[in-house]
Amino acid sequence: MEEIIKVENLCFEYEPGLQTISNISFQIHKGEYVAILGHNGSGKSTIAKLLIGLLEKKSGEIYIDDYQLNLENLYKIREKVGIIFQNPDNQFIGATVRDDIAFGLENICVPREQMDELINRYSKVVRMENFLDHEPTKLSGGQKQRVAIAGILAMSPSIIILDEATSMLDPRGRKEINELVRELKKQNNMTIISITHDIEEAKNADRVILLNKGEIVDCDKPQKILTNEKLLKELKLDIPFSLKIARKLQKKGYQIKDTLDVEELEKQLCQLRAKV
Amino acid sequence: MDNMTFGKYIPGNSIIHRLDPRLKICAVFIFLISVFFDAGFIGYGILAIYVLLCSLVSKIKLSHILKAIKPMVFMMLFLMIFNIFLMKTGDVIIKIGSISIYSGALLQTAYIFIRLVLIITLTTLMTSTTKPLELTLAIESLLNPLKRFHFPVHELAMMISIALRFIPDLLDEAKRIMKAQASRGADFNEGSFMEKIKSIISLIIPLFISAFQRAEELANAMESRNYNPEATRTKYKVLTWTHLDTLSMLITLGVCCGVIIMSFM
Amino acid sequence: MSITCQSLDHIYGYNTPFEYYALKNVNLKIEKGSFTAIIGQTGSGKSTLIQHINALLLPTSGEIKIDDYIISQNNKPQNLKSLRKKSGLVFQFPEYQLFEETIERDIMFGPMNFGIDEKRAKEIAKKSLEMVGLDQTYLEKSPFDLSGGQKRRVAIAGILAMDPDILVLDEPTAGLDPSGIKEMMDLFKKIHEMGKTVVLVTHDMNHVLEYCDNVVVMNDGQVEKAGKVKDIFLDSDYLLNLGIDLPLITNLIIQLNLKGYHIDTSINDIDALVEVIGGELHG
Repeated sequence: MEEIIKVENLCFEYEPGLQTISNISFQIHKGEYVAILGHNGSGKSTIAKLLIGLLEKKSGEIYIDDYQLNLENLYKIREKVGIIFQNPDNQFIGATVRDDIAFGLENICVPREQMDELINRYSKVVRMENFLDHEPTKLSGGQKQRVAIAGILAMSPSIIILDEATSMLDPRGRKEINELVRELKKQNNMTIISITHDIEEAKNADRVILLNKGEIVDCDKPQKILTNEKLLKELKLDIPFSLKIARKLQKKGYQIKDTLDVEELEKQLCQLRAKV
Repeated sequence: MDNMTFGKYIPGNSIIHRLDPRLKICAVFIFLISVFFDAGFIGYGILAIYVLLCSLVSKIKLSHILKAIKPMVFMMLFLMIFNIFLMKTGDVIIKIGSISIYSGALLQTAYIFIRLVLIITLTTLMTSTTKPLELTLAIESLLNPLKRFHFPVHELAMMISIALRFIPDLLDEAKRIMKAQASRGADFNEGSFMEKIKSIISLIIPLFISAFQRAEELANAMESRNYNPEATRTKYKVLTWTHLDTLSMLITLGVCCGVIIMSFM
Repeated sequence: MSITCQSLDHIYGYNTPFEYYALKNVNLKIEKGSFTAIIGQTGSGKSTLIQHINALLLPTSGEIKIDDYIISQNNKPQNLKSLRKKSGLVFQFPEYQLFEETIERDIMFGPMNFGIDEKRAKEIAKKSLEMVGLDQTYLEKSPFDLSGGQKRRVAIAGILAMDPDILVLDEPTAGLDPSGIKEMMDLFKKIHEMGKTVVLVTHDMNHVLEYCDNVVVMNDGQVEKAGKVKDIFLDSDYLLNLGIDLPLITNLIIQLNLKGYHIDTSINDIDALVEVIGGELHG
């Protein structure tokens, strides 16, 4: 598979001597959905800011789509990487939905005649086409995040970073965003990096990078990482609900396989019962 | 603060709503000048008719405009009382003890009252029929010639539009913090002077901290979407000047110049 | 202290073009000593309702009674301060209300506003900080040097320091990580066990199931249902219609029961559930 992000020996510190990110290396492939998982303060949001050059690394290298991240390539890289931040209010720049989507287009000098078409197309993708003239104060958190996604899609990036984009949303908003992201990955072969502490969200990823104290603890498929109960507990994280039940039943001596999926757990339990 | 409707944009589709914001700003500006020329009651009558026609065409409710005038009433009364007692032109009309009131003072006071009401009404009409963003665009467009003197017109316009975008959010935030501190027993209305100071500090500090955090997050969001104030950008919203705007401009100029000329006759 | 609402209405921006009905004819009783959840979609009026408990908002019509205090449009209680001392309100993201130089002084702000002398307030600060799980070494630190979760705990200590009888919490776990959430919820459980009335506004039905005894369902400014937690979750179709997800445990039980299991739907803890599943598998 083709590599789209390559990070080599990345280090960063907010204060001299206090390393926030220490010597991190990883690769992300084109079209991959990677979750960067860690508790608050593990350095996961710092990585996002380093990837789009909002923070300046101390040492190490970042390559995005073969471009090295440096001052010269900064704007080129930002065109390729879109990021959705945590707080829906503080990334809504325009006075209305329409203006907010246009903001990014203005920055990359899209001719005015093409803007309306792009705005219409991407507002439809995020299902906000009926809200184009709404002001942000009249939108819910989930709707604002969808607008942020449309604003980024319109700039046609190849990578989308979600920096705890759902952590301030209500369950409905969270569900909407998660569904939308999965759709984008499937239909547009978008590369997605989701920075989160939500285990249930990390389940959906192709690969999980587990982070603690600015270091990568593990990097593997969710089926591997999210079943490592001892490690997750140590890192102040939870394990998925279905796995909790499966493990407790295993301790009681029942033949239940580890699973991250509640429906799979139900299926197993029904089969077991049928045998009784 | 829930009743702060003054100056807020009220959606509509009247002719006034659709006029070019540049025209509206210019019209208000010209009107402001002409209102200070003393063309007697006939002159003010003409200006009042102009304002009245504008408000009728705009379909903005009279009650809304009255609400905008209300907060100014105190200031108006203050000015009027000062004028009545301090101006000493014309004939003495009333004499109470050592205080005399002159006819000229009464006339001037009436003028001041009329001027203020007319100005407030027209500016309220402008802000309630024009989206803040359009006003910003108009300011940017009107200031454009200053670019030649390296005046940061674009940056100024961006600053104004962001400020406008975040004013409601910051007001909400202030309200929220005030309530949170009130539930901790802070008293913003009563209490001793020292208590009040303490209460205000308990509002101001959190408000500043949150405003700075907002600013940082916003700057990050703008930068990550490739905003670069020095680079050239295309523009989504452009203003278009129509014949209707030219016509309105001519009417406004006619009325205002007429009044100014009358004042010299 | 019990809370009673009678035909409570609240309209924002009354008589302006921006008028908005936030609460419509709310009738409600929250019993003393209960742990009550208020649930409902964003915009259903939950936050507006709880602000009435502190007289931060006055009803447009109707009234709300908190023990002897009656709050209505024309009747802001004379002794507003003593009401606010008795009902502590923790806003969403309460870390934004911190403002003092040291954590100790910030926690003392509430008690001293209610007329407690400095010496006593210091003792209270120490005790409250301990209660939220931070030791004495934090007293002299600046609240702004803490992590997000710690800041929130200090802010909550600032409310607990007023020793309120009612503790009202507006989504207190929003934005915290799993371990932070668990610590926070256990703290509220402890406070409830001390005999306080706790009112919790939340979107997390797992918390409702695990911690609360009563639940109030709000929709479109109205109280649609109020009752025991186990009864409310029985009507799963109704909740799903409102866009409210079931707790993971309840959802699993319902799904298993559809496929032949017979599990009591009022089970609210994983170990009990595993026990019952085990029982069923033994036949």
